[in-house]
Amino acid sequence: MPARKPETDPILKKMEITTQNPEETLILGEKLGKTLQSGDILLLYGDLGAGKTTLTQGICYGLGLARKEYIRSPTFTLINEYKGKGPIYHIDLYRVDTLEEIENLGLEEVLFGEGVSIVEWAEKLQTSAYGKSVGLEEHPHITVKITYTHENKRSFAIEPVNMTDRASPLFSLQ
Amino acid sequence: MLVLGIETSCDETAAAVLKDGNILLSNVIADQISLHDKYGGVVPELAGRSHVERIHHVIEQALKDAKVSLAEIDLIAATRGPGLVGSLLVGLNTAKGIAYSSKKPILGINHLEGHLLAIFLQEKVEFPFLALGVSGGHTDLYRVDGFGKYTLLGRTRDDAAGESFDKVAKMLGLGYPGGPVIEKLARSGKPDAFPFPRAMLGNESLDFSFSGLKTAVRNLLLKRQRREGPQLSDADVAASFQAAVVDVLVKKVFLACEQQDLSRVVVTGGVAANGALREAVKTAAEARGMQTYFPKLVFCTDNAAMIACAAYHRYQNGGVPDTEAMQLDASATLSLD
Repeated sequence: MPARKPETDPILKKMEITTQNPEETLILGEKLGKTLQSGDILLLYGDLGAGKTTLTQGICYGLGLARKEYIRSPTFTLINEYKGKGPIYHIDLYRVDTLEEIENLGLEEVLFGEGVSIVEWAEKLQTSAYGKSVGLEEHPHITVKITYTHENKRSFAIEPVNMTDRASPLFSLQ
Repeated sequence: MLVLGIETSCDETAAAVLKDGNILLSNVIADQISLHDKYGGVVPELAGRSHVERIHHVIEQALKDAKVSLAEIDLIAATRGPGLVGSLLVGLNTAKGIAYSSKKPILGINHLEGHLLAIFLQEKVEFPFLALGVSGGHTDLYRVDGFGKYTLLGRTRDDAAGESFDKVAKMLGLGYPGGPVIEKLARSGKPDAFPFPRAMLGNESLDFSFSGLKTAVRNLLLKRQRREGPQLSDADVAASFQAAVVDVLVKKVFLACEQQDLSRVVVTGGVAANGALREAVKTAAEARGMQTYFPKLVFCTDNAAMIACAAYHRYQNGGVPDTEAMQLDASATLSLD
């Protein structure tokens, strides 16, 4: 089980969870996925090898993806779609940089559509100013910032943004 | 028979004219033509609207290079998936428009079928054979029993092999694409300098996993930065990493051949250009008395010639479902078997 950090914010605006290995990351993702609803947007931050795709695999299981299915990295394909209870969009901005490139993806239709959107390399939304241009910063979303703590250990800072009404199911993660 | 092939599933906008299945009259990929002059500045590499700007010019160029007119074309083919729907639709709808206005038959082609049949652009391979499709976006093993007869045996569960090359290159501060730069650097390194993990996923599995390898390289580089662990040179890291990827690919290829009782191997996709992989596959195949086939690099990476080739064979083996032509739609997650 992912260990709970004692310094977790008592008013539950933001939580920090540590996992010891990829298997625990998968479990955390699954729990997180179970709290999500249609239209939710998850922004993932973290370096190469941080575990974004592993977390996303778990989230997809939590959202009802069949156990025998594996999600594959969308780095090359940019947007992968999976079927859980509803559509799941797995987006990867690793290869894109400029505002024009992101606009060319037609990302708005996916982000503000019916499915759950999970965005890897969300850093690019800020550096490209795309997040601002489509009003994503004011839109309800969840940020997950992943940092290396040791070889296989990872720390996940999960924060609901502009979604106070809906944030409560997330707290069950702790 | 003349086939006009159109491919827009990802980054490349491409068109080709193919005669009788293996005589390539033209093969245009947008990057090769001087778009800078035409559009004044750098054209964004990535898909979607940029395909719209290029598609007509690319098709015109393909017809011009082939010295044929649209009227002479017998069949139109376009990739209908898998890929980015926005990108796919540009090629597919253009193809439908041309087919409708010129009253020509049209076929929607699976991009992966194009890769599997790319070898037929240069030589005939006897069925059945094993195909390893390995690129930045795919690491798939297929059994191919004939045109249109494909069985998926295994695929990556996370990162594609080519993607791991790109990402390790980035960690080492090298350029893009990662395949060629890693291969070059690896030539001056020791492949056994560090035992990176080889994810086999069990003795019988034909699936792949390269995500753990990427993380292992990263951990090694972080430690090296802190002056901990083995202080390997970049060349040794590149060589050891490449050896791990090649090892896994080769083991799974021949495990699949064994399980499926196959004696011919086709390696296709961008990573098929990697010399170490080619060498290892050839050596292992020779030891087993098996045949190996590698398409030329230009047919390995995304191109429209392979789409025209797949369409030609599909047409020869069953023709065109004439009722469905205009209902053809793009599909992001089209599977092959």
